[in-house]
Amino acid sequence: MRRTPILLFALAAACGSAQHTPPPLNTIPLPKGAALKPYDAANPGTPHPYNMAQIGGKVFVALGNLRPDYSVGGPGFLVGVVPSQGFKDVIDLGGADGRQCQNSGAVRTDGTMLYVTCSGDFSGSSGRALVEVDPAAAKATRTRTLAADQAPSGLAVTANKVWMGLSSSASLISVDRTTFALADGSDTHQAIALECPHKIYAYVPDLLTVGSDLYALCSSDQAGVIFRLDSSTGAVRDHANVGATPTALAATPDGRLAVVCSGDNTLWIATPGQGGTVTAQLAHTYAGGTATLQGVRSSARYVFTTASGSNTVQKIDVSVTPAKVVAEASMNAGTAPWDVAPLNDDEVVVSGSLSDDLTGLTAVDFKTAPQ
Amino acid sequence: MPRAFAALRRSIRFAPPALTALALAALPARGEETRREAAPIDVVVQAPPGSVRAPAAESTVVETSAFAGEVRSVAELLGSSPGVSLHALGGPGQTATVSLRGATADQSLVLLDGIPLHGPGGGAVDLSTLPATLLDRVVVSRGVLGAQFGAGALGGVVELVPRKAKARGAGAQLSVGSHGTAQLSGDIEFAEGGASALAAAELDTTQGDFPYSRQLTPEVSPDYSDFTRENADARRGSALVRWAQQLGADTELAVLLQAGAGVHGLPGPYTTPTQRSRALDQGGLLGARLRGEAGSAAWTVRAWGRIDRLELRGVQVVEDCADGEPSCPRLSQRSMAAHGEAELGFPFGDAHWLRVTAAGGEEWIAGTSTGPHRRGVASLALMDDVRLPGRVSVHPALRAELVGAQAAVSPGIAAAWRPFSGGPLVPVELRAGAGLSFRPPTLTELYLDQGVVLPNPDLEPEHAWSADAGVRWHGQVLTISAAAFYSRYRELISYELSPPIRVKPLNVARARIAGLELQAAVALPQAFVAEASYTYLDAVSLRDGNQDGHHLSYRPPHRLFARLARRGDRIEGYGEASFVSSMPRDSFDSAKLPAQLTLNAGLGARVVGTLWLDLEAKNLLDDRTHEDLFQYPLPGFTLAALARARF
Repeated sequence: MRRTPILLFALAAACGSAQHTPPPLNTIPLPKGAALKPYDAANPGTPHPYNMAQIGGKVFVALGNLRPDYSVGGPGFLVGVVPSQGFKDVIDLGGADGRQCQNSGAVRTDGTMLYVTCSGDFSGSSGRALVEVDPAAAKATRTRTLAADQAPSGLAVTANKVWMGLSSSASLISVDRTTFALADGSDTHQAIALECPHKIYAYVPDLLTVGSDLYALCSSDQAGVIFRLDSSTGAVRDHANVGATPTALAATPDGRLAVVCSGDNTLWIATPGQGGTVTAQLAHTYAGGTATLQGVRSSARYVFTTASGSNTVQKIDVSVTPAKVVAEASMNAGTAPWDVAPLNDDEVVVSGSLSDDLTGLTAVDFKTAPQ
Repeated sequence: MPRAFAALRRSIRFAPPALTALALAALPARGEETRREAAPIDVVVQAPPGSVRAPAAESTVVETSAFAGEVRSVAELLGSSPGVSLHALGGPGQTATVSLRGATADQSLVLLDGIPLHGPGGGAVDLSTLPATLLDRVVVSRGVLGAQFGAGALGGVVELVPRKAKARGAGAQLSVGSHGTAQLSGDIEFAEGGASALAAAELDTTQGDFPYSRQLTPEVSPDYSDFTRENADARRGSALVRWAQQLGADTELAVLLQAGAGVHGLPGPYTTPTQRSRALDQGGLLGARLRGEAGSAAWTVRAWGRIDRLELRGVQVVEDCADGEPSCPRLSQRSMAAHGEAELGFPFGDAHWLRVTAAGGEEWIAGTSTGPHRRGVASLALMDDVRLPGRVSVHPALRAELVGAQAAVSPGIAAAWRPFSGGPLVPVELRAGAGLSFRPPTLTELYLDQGVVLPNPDLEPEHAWSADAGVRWHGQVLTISAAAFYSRYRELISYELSPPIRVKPLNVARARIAGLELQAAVALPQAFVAEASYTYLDAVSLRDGNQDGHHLSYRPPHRLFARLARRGDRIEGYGEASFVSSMPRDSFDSAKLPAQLTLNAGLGARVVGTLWLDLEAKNLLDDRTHEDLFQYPLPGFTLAALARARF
């Protein structure tokens, strides 16, 4: 009898938990057509959803708003989605002229505000920017326009700065969060240059802040490297080689970092050490049928990765060595899954860069690996 | 968004085959053989079975008559040769290319009656556009053969020899098969006195809607799910006219006209199907050759021109689009080439047969994404066939070429030695060869601008050298050959990131490719013939950085082909097996394409007069998991019935 209240409490907690977090819609429509404010109504863009960030029970996804030839079709957008209901907020990032932010791609939050990078028109010089968004008001609050040679890719938010990796070089720039002026990379402070071996190209696809550390990936024609830097100054503390063409990194449930590499189909685990060091080990080589790894994010227990070339999403246990794919979901052909936002250990929202919608995946969508 | 680069670059490699076709390279012209049938250098016991132009090169001759009663594409004809890698973006009618000795498709020349073929604006030839029934034989010569054939022959050369009129008569062939596939071909020929003519045509159609299987969750389950290919239909018409007229005792005029037109769907990779993309192509060539003899010398004068047009509808960088919408313009590309050449062959002393070839011409390209461009080509070549004591023949060659503003010299040498003059070992022949040559950048590599795909007018030619050695037993009933080769490539053109997301071709890659080629054929009793070939390939990147030491993608280390066929008076048939080992799908040896085994068989009978009826089955194991480049599935089991007759 004494056990009954405990069991009832546990049952109620479990049921209550399920009731409070209804599953995501399988298809979560995104704004399209005129809602994306096309520059040319006869040649509009499509959503091209890229990266996502979660805050306040919503998933915010950056829309590239690109035409089929990858030219910009309109301003960048950030869309707030309640996974179980659909999109709620459509936030135009383009500014007064609709061209201050184009091709928005990466988004991060500090728990209060959202920050979005805009890579701009690849064939021109417009639309490079960092935009600050107030999720509560669903409005862009500040925009820092960037130079043509400062097309940003990934970003990370610290207490004082928003760091951005550049897509044209192995360099980091930053914006002061107080003034929203360019700090590192301005006329008075040089950008942080990462010593990333390359002969043809190098860029910084993703960044992450963990405590006082800033982690940055470098992807080049010759190497893949993860750097550990001081998040205040950008001083490099250490670096370690990872696989070819790293594309994204995320903190793992046990405090390490997971890195996916699209070039050689691998997952790496980087481990921070004492004194600012970092080491990296190969954790998993994906099957030959898995192609073009793009995103990595963590839930409380698992790491989720996306592979745009095979339209698959993997659920991975990185607490074991080597890491084990415990479940996998297949998405529709032509989806090209890009980023994944875990809602819990069993449910995720996936952005497909070639899809016009977001996709919600639940436990039934994941095929589990044999034990 | 730089992370898009990986997918974008991949998609450019992937697929719209049309886009792939647009990224191919142009080839300079080369001469036609003028060596007489009874040239004074015939030192071997039997005539070498290879190319006249490269007498001692490692080579394989595929007679199309050996495949009578079978539905064979040009690519399938090449499958029996060692050193050959075939890649197809699907079933019949879809783009198929050939590469030799691990080179890329645009580093291997394809010639029709000595006239170089290439895709619109590019190098790699789509073999699916070439009608196999109009050919007499195919000669595959392997090695860096730029000195003998001209720039671009880094992996080797495939010579398509069209049929010649042999007698007065006509023939027809009809086949129907799985997935709405049908072929109708016919010819009429005339040969009398000093004149001969042949006209032939082939019509092909396929629905291409074959079933295939793929893994949906490759990380956790080996299970495959079934799908049906869509937008893989194709229709094509081809014609060939060949006319020859003896103008005197020692002079002959020959004219060749070949033309074709087709339309096919571009289904895309199975992960990103493109159901609205289509390709339409038209092309043709006209060549005239006058050759004769003057004393002990032989001369040839030749001119040819070719024109090709390719139009893509509903094609975008990654996905398809709705043809006709403002955001989905049609992409067209036209290319033309005109060429003239003269060759003189004459004896020099008792041991030499010298050939001098001078050639020149121009090629043009005009397209939606390239704009109009033109460049001149010219070459001067000297080749010698030397007979030395001890049954040794040596074949040095040197060619100087100018392609646009880029000039290069291609030297080459090959030698053959028959060590035994009598006894049972007379059929033994030892061979060795070496060559150095280049491939000029294609007009599309130089000028193609598709937004995210940038041109690079500053591209330099690719360079390669190769050496090989082999031994051959060429007897009456048994032929066995073995050869090993080693080659190095530098300044290879590779599409690389041009920040932030565009890609651009650059001369950045290096590689070494070594291999072993074995081939055997034996004539058995009861009109049976057995043949087999094996290729070992070790293709390794020497590029600086993290690709160094890894194998080049899509080069299978092992390839095995075996076939038993019977060509009787009443009954014919064959069975064959083709095995392609697992091969790397990326540049880091971390993703592999599974090994593939294909079994084919056919059986036919002459039912009345010259009428033959055949039944043919391909992929007998009905393995629907086969796929080729870039996640393009291949057909499973197919069945075809074929009727043919000659009158």
